[in-house]
Amino acid sequence: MTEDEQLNSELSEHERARSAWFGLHIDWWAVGIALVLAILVKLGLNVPW
Amino acid sequence: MSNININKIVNHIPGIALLFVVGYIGKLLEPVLTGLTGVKIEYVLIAIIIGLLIRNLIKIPEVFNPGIDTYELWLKIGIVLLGARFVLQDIFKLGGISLALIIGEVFFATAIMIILGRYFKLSEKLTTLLAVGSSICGVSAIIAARGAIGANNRDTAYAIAAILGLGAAGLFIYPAIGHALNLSDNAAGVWLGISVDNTAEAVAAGGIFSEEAMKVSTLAKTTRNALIGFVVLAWAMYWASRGAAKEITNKGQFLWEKFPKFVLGFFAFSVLSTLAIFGKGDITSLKNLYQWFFLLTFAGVGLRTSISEMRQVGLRPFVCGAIAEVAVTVFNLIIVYAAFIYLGL
Repeated sequence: MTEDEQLNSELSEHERARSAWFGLHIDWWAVGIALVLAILVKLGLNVPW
Repeated sequence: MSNININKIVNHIPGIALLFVVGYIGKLLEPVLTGLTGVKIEYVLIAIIIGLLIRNLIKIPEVFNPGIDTYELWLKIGIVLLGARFVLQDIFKLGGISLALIIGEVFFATAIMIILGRYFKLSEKLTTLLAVGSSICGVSAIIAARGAIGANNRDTAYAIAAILGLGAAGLFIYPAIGHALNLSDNAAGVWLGISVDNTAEAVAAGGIFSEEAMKVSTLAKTTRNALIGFVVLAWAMYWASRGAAKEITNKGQFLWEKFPKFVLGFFAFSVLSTLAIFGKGDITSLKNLYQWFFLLTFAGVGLRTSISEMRQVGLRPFVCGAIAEVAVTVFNLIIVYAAFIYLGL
């Protein structure tokens, strides 16, 4: 693999990791998971630290 | 759920477990090291250092990498949850101050990077990427700008490595400077939020300073993130006018595509908090939740910071970026100092 190809593959891997899991943008996953957790907290979930 | 998705989930488990173990060791060591040294050492710093040591001293098996890359998801969940700790008045006050300072910072960082890029004879598109990365939002902004300005992969990889390397250095240096200058939590939080380029590092730098500064640095950085589309659009229009990038036909759609949607979640949680939807106990649980998510994030910051990968960036872009970062950080310190001390905020 040439240096360029190496850089390209690292970059595309980085982009893949950043852009999506399971077909959805990670920002929407983050908002959705946070909302579900907030509902659980409202329903009485007590989270210790 | 299909087999493919189950496989994807399973592939992420080893790395996520590693994030948790590293972060949790940091949390366990916090009282031990604080007791031994007599100085408050935040778990944030310990988790990052353990992660850094693992990444750079041993070869992490490939099986851990997909899970380590999830640190950004945990970061964004944490930021959305942290929105619940701000009522809208706080957002408008601290976010408004941050916004005014960020506009000054964007112009200064862009100008200094262009001047230094010419002096160090960097390609114009690499200079653009470094200007976007250092002025607004680190890696996310560089990736958002790459397609819009038609930069090649090599310049993009260099710019990302330079911004990550400089962010890692700032993470350790800036909070110490903030303490030496006796900055308040709010002033340090705003300064770190507008000076540290990558979001995870900006949150971590605030956390290393103090818990309250982490709240404020996250707000300042989130405000900065919200501007990503405008800065990238300006650069895209500049390069299109020179015939070196595609024309943006629908600017509204472009801005929406580039807008980081977790910022909406952060704002929505602040609205819910302002409406008193969350009781005192709920807020405590939400705070504990985001601390757990940030614990995974900080471990990820250390685990993905590879010194050998940063060496690939080449000396000139790195030195150019470093000089610009120092200049921008000093500029930011002066304007934050002026805003908080002389205006009595």
